[in-house]
Amino acid sequence: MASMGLHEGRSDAELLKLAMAGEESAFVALYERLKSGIFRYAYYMTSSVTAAEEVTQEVFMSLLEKGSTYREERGDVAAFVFGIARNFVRRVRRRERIYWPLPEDDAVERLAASLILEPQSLQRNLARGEAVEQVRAAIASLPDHYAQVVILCDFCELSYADAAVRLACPVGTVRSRLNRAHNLLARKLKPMKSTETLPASGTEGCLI
Amino acid sequence: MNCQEFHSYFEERRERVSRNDSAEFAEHLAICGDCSRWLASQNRVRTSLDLLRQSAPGIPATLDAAVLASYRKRMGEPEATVSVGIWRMIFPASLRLGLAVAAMLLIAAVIFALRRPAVTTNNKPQVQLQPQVTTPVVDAKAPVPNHQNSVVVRKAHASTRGAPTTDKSVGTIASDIRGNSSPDGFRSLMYCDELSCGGAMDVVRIQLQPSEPGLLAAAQQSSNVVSADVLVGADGIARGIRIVR
Repeated sequence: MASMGLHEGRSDAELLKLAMAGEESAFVALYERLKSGIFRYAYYMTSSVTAAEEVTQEVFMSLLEKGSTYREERGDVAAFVFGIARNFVRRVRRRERIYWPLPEDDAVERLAASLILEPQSLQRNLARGEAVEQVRAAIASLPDHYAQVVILCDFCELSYADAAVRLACPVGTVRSRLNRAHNLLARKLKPMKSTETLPASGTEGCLI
Repeated sequence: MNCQEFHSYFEERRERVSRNDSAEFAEHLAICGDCSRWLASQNRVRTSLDLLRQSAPGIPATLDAAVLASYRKRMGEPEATVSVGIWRMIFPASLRLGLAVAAMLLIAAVIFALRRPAVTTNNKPQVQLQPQVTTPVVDAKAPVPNHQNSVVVRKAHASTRGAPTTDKSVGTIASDIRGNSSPDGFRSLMYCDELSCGGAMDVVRIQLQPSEPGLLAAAQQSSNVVSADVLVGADGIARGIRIVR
């Protein structure tokens, strides 16, 4: 997908029009610009790579379908796409709510490989994995409008202004929501052991 | 720096904040225990979020290929897309809903109209089959005729409806038996006026049982056969009767 240079000076709206008209290189350029944000947003909202992949793919196909309803004066294409992604994420979360999440397909292999390369890192990896799960669970337990702000500002690294555009609310609201969300997270997250301070003694300590 | 300014300063900074960021900042933290604890908890949250961010997987390589394949597939079917787009342009959502409702109403009306004649057809025979209440009084002095006689009258009436019998139908006369005045020797069987006895009436000849009381003398005079003409209206109800010797 090396068609970025071809459409470098074009806006997202122009690329969308060209993509809908059938110009593949314009579609690829638009996809390259937007895919990272959408994938990350979907991943953090669903905690699943498979679901994030599904959402990203559906969003771009839906963009081609609904692209004719896009109005430039109402916001940029990224915000329009984010709106579509948000709806798909909601749908996926509703669908997946009844299932217990399994670890990602390659999680076990990655753990095994890291143990072979660094046997002493088992305890550290376990603690780290536990901490990650704890943070993920804490974010998932937040009310939706707080979780959205945390994911957009802290994980997708959008500015307050961009997040405000995506969520269709004032910048001050984004800031206060983020502040409240961080306070809630601070209460939910127990003081975790720093992964740096854990002893790197390997597995022998557990065998006694 | 007061506590509010301290919080605002922290919110503005997206990255981890330390005591050494500014002298003013450090000075406030030195005197305010609440803000010091709050900063520690917030930094802990930011560390945790960093941990989660670092553990996030990259975009799978298969995704690009899948999206591109979907795009090509979609663009390979332009007709369906275009036709759907045109239909949506011509018929906006509200109009489509209205058309759907109108179509449903039309279908309901057609079903109702088709079912209605069937119901009336079923009812018709019931109306026609209702027995006519006729009282074949033969003579005012004579007692009321028995059941057999009334059956004869009904048979004669049926003959006028289409099934021809041997000697029953005699002719048709204009109605003038209104107000109980009997034409040509007919004895009125019911009260007649403009409404009940309007139009032409049939004269039906029937045979009566000679054994009936009051008819015995007439039977003896006419070799055991007693006939009577019954005046029947267009509605099938007998209006008058006369004995034919």
